[in-house]
Order: sequence, then C-alpha cells, then structure tokens
Amino acid sequence: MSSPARSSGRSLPGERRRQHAEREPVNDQIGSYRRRTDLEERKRTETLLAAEKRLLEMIAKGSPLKQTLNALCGFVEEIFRDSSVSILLLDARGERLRHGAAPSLPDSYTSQIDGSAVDPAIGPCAAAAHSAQQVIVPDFASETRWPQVRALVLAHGLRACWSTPITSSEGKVFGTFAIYARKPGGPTVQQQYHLQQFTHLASIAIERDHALDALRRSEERYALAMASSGEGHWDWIVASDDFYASALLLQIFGLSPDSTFSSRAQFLELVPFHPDDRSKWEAAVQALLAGPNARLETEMRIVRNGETRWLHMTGLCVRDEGGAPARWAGSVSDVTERKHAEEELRARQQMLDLAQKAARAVAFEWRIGAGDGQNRWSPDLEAMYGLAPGSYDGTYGAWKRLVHPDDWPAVRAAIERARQTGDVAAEYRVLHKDGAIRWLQVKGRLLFDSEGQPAQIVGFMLDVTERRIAEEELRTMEAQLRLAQRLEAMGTLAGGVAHDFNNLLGAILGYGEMALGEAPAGSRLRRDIENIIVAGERGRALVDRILAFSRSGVGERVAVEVQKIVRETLKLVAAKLPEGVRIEQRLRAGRSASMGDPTQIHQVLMNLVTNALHAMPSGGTLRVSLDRVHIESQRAATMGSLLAAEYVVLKVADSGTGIPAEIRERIFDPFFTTKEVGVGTGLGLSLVHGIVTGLGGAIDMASTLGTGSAFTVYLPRFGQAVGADKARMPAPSRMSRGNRQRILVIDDETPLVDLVTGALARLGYTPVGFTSSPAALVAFSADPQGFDAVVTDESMPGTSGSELIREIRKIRPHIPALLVSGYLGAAVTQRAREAGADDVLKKPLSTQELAASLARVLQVSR
Amino acid sequence: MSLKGWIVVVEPDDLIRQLIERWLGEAGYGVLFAAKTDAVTAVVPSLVIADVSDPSCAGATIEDLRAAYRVPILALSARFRRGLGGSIATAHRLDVSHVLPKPFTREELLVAVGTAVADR
Repeated sequence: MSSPARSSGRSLPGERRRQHAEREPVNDQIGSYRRRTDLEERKRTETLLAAEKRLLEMIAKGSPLKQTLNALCGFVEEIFRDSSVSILLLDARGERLRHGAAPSLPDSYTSQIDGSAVDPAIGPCAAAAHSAQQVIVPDFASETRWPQVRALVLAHGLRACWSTPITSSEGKVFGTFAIYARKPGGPTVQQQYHLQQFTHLASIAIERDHALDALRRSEERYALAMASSGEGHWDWIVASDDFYASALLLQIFGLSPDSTFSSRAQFLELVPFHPDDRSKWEAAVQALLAGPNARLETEMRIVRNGETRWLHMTGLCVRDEGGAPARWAGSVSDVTERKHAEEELRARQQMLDLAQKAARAVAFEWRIGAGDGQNRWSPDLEAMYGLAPGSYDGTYGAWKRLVHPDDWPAVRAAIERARQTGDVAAEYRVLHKDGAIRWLQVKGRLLFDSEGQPAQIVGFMLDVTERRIAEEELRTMEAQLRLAQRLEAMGTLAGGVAHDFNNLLGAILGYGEMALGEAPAGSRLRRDIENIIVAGERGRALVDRILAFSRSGVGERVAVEVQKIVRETLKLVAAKLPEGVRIEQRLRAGRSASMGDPTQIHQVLMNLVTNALHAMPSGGTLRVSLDRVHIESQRAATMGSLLAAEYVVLKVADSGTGIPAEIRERIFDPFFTTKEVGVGTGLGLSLVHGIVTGLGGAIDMASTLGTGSAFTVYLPRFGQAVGADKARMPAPSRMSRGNRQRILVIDDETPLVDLVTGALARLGYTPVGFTSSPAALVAFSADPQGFDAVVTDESMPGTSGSELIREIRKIRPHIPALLVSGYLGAAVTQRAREAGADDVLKKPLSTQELAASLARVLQVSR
Repeated sequence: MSLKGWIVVVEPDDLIRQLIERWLGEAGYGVLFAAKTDAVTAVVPSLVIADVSDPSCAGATIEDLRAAYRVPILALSARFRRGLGGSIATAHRLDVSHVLPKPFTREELLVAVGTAVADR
C-alpha cells in the first residue's frame, strides 16, 4: 500500500515538486520549522495565502463542496507533511458522521469511518463532534479508548490523530477536521494556528454550501408551488424594467415557451387581450400603480388561439420609500371553466326563476323537526302565503295558522299519506292577511334520513286559484245548463198544454157565457153556470202564468220605468202585510228603464215578495231595494249570466227560514212548491225565471238556513223611461205627429230610405235621407244642431248603424237615435245598448211604430 | 137586417168555430169558414179572423192570407198573453191589424172585430 501522501493526486504539480524537495522527517518537524530560513517562511506564508485565496474563490464561485473540501485537504497535507487529512461531515440529523473529503486516504479507510455514530466511544472524530472539543491522540500505539479505530489507523501506517470540530459561526457542529500523522506527536502552537484557520475555511465552505442548498431548495419549493398552483406568475422590477414571466404564464397567454421580451411593454405587446377588455384592464393597473393600494384583483378576457378565455389576476405592488411603485408582481389563472360553470349556473337559476314565475310556482324546502326560525322561506313563497318578505318565522305553528281551517283535515291526511309513500301532494286554501283566499297546490317529495325518519320535504308550491275558480265556474255553468235545459223542456211541455187548454177554456167560457144568457136571473142554474165561468177564468189565469214561464207566450216590450212599478207594487203589498212583518224599501234606480212589460215586472216582484212573506210565518223584515248597477265584467249568476253592462237590480230579501241546500236546485222548477197543497201553484219562481230570462236578465240567489234568503234580479237597463202618461203606445188613430223636426235617415238601400223619409214627411217631420253612413256623418258634422233625431239601419256595409250612432253621439251626446234592424237578437240589442241607441225597431218598419218611438225619444230629449 | 159584411174565419177547433159563428152571426156578420191553404173566393170579406197556433212562426200563414184576401186580419191565439198595454206590439210583430188572446169573451171578440173592420 502506497503512502497516503504519495497516493494523493489532488495536489498541484508545482506544490508536489516543492513537497518532495522539502521532505523532512516528521519527528524533526518542530526542529525543521525552526530551521526554516526567512525565505522558506515567506514562501510558506505565500503558499498559505495563495491556498486561502484559491479556496475562497472556489467557495465564492459556489464550487461543489466536495471539490472545495478536497482542495482544502490537499493544501493542508502540503503544510502538514507526512500526514493525511480527513474531513467528516455530520449528517442532516446530527446523528452520524459521513465521509466528507480525504484525498490521501484509501477507500478501505474512509468506508470504515463513513457512517459512524456521533458517540465518544467510537473514535476521536466522533468524540470531537460529540463534545465540540478538539481531540488529540499523540500516538495510537498507546491509545486504548478506541481499539477498532486504533487497529484501522495503525493498519494504514498512521500514528497520531488531531481531530478538530468544524463549527458554524453560531457554534453548531458541522463535522470534524482530522489530521492523521505517520509519526506520533501533538500539534505545535503554529500548527494549532493553521488548524484553526483551515477548520474555519472548512466551516465557511460548509456554511456557504448549506446556504446555497437552502436557497436551491427554497427556489425549488417556489417553482413547485408555482407549477402546482396552475397559476402563471409575473414579476416586474420597475427601476430596471426587468419583466419576469413564468412558463405557466406564457402558456396561459398562449405564448411560446421561448418568447422573448426585454421589458414589460414588450411583454404586454405579446398578450392577446380581448379587444373589449384591454383598455379596461390597463386602466385598472394604471390606477393601482398610481394610487395608494397595494393589491389588485381583477378578471379579464384574452383570445387564445381564437378562443375567448377568462383570466383571474391578482397583483401586488411593492413601493419604495417615496411611495412610487418599485415592483409589480402577481399571478394569473385561467378561470374560463369556472366562469362557464358560473354562467351556466346563473342561466339555470334564471331559467328556473322564469319557469317558476310563469308557472306561478315556487320551489321550497322544509326541514322536519328544525328549530324555530330554521326553515327559511323565499320572498316568493312568502308572497304566496300573503306574507311580507322576511316576515315568516319558520315555525310549523305559523304555517298551520295560514292554512284555511276547513282544509286542515285534508292537509293532515296528505301529510299522513306522505309518511307512507314519500309523495307530497295536496291542495288547500290559505288565508291572506288582507282577507284574500288563494288556492295553493303542493307537489313534492318527503325525504327520509338514514334511520328512516322523515327529514325533509322538497318540492314546488303552485298558485292554482284561477284554475280552482274556473272549475267552480264550470260546475256552476254545468248546473245552470242542466237547469236551463230542464226548464226549457218543461216550458215546451207547459206551452203545448197551455195552448190546448186555452182552446178548451175558450169553449167552456164561451158556451158558459151563452148559457148564462139563457138562464133566468136568480135561478140555481144561473149560479151553477156562473161558478163554471169563475172556474174557467181561474184556469185562464193559470194558463197565462204557464205561458209566462214557458216563454212561448207573446208579450209586450216597451221601455218600463222599473222603480215606478216597484213602488206601486209595494204599496199593494204594504196594504196586505201580515202581522209582524216589517218592510224596508230603498229604491235608488231613479227613472232607469228596462225593456219589458210592466205587468211582467209587477209579477216578478209580487212572486218574490209572496215567497219572502211565506218564508217568515212568524214575522220578520222584508227588504226590497232597487239600484242602478254597472257590472264590470261578465260573470255567471245563479240563473243566467251577466254581461259587462248597466243593469237595473231588484233585490228582495227576507229574514225567514232560508232554503235548504237540497232543494235549491229545484226551486225554479215549475210546479215545485214548499207550500201546502192548494196554497201555492209552484209557478212563482219559474214565472220569475221565465220573465227575467225573457228580458235578457239574470237572477242571483243567496240563502242561509235560519237567517233568510235574498233574490237579486238583474234587468238590462235601457236608457231612461219617458213620462208616465207616454208609457203607453198611442192608438193608431191618434198617431204621434211631428212638428217639422229634422230627422237624419240612413239606410244603404235607396227604396227603404225613400219609404222612411216618405212616412216621416207624412207624419209632419222633415226627413233628410242618406244611403251611406260616412256621407250622413259628414252632413251631421257640418250642422250638428240642424238635426233633431237620427234613424239608422243597423246592417250596412262599412260603418254599421250602432257605430254611426256612437260617432254622432261623440259630436252631440244627447241627440235621440233609433236603430232599425231586420233581426232583433240579443246581440243586436246589446250592441244598440252599448252604442246608446234610445230604441230599437224591427224591420219591416211600421209607420205606427216609427211614429210612436220617434215621438217618445223626442219627448225625452226635450 | 142587412149584413154588416162577410168575415172569413180560419179556426181549426170546432167548438170555438161554432162559438165564433154564433156570436158574429148574432152581431150581423156573415161568416165563412176556410182552411188555411184554401181561399174562399165567393165573396169579398171585410175581415179575416185567423187562429195562429204558434205566433213565433206564423209569418207564412199571415202572408198567404193577406195575399188571398187583401183585407185586415185579426189573429187569434191560445199563446197570446194578456198585457196591460194591449197587444199593439204583438200585432205589429205579426203584421196583422189586431190580435185577440184565447180564450175570449163575446164582448172582447166583437170589440176587436168592430175596431178591425173600422180601420180598414
């Protein structure tokens, strides 16, 4: 085995040469030192300085630690002749010594020492590292503490060992610096000085290496953090305009990894901003850099490879002492997916909101067993229950109080069903604070927890009030239709019977009358025949009533001042009022008229009053009112239906027994009666119904058992009635004549215009005829006060008669107007009424009728 | 006693027919019975009395009678109703001179006939 000194290949060639030249015995070391000339001394000092300089260079350049330490060993070995240097380094955990550098010691040695525990019992180096004290073994031959190391050392021809701990500036042990000499002995003072110096150099190298290592790890750590965050980073040093962009940043911006830029401005040139966002973003950054804030968080779009991407940017501005930006750094992440997800979520939410609104539905959640206030309702749900937003307290009790008490049993049954099936389905009414009642439908699912206990209800609430009302109306209308059909069938039957009966009665009464003429006065025969005639007359009255309800009779239709008839009828009633019955009348219809037969209106009131009195056998209050009412919208009444129009409304109410629900449907049937046999005919209400329906009216009925009933009769209003003395039509012989009043006559057929103008001229009027409504309108507009009345045909091409009346009335609101129509259906009458026609006449027009009607409307207008 | 004039009567009910014949005859009228479709051409009557069993579709019958006789028509019907204001509106609607609801008394018949004849 070659000597450690010679085996070293690390010493520089020149130094080695010098080493050989100056070789001296080790035991003479001190003496030879002393013998050194000044020149030698200077040379040594130079060598040492050169070595130190070289080592510091290596350290400063960041040469690998092993290399630096090996060089250090080489220098030391040059100074300490006949010795080998070994540097051991403490591992990261400070438990074991690892081979650091030992350029002149063979592997057979180093491998034995490598990994020794830091234990004073192992060897001198371990002891030195453990105690942080220098350990000097002058001669291993006489050393007994470490037999293993002793054997190893001696086997390698070494005798002494001076092990010095390498410590950091803070006193932390890095390892050991050991010199193994081939000759026994300890270090001189000079040698100790050198040892300290070199150990210090080793410490610097190691410390520096540790620092570099820490820095590298730190950099790696940041690089890993940056890479794993998925964010791109930038760092701009303002003063030098040095702009750093991480690889991920380039990737996010869609830039090539080897993009180059030497300033921030150059980098920004490369960024593919979305055209709408560039200036916005730049303004935000400029504002931040100019302002006092440090942090900016913003979102912007770029167009990467033709695709719009959303980026989220967080930047931090570091300022110098004067507050000017010194550094601007931060990160950018691609949030396109999140944006899309948010967008989709928002769109779905919006769609759901719209769908809910459209369906008048609201999604809800109810947690069962939740404490007070834990069940939150959306404002929409609260609105469904008529609650102000945020006013629901979340309790079961508060919800239960909102449910209509009549519907609570059904709701409870639905809850019970849901417990079994999981399906939640119910319809119930809720009471709003303002008194409104809404129908709500719930459709949902009861969810159970892991223990099978009901946990939560999720579903929809729908407002189904309109549907409920429609269903209700449909039911009412179906019932009405059934009733109307039944009444019509009965009416047809009764009409036929009446016809035959009247013929029979005609014969009975006629022959009775003749027989009466033959019978002697005061004779029994005469009385008998008189009774036959009385019975016949009663039969005739009965048949007359049957004809009224069957509507197969032909009656009169004139404008009737309803209030006058009602007042007269009530006078009759008051005269024969049963004891204990009080009458309250409130007639406020003024002179409102209805088309009909005064007798019929009298009959309607008489029958209603008779029934009302009958319902109050032990007295009570009879209330009769008459009003003018404007119906706002079309609706069904108990009998018939109401249009949006003006009505004269007659109401007869009693405080009597009320009508049992089970017979309410039948009270309008002919011959249905609750009165004792012989007291009533059972024709009263069917007569009322027949008359009212025949006049285009309707009837509402309300009744509460024990409280009373009210019948409300709606008669279409038809202008104002004329003076009482004019109510009857004049006899043909006393046909009303005009007094040169100018009458505008319009009909699209010339012969009919001629006919009417001719008739009017003969009646003493001054007619002006037109065959087109626009021409008539022009003439009228030219001189509105030049005409006294208008007579127009309804059915004309272009402007119809009712339209013409409306136009003329716009110019002169109160001018009398008559409408003539070939057909007098409900639709025409309705149109005429809406247009404001004072009367409607049927074609073919008779002179009598025209004269009477014209005289009447002119009278009213006067 | 000379005849006041001839009256054509269209009345399907035999009892009523006999009654009208007796009452009008006693009052001085000559009475001729006719079927609806079959006009009496022997005399020129002063009046036609016709039963209208269904006033709502009597137009054609009235038309025919007017065409055949060209004299005033008094319509009878068991379906006419008695109103306060007389039956002028009904007469207009049917386009006849007068109407008379059944059953009627002798007096009612004679007044109606007298008025109708006088109106001619």
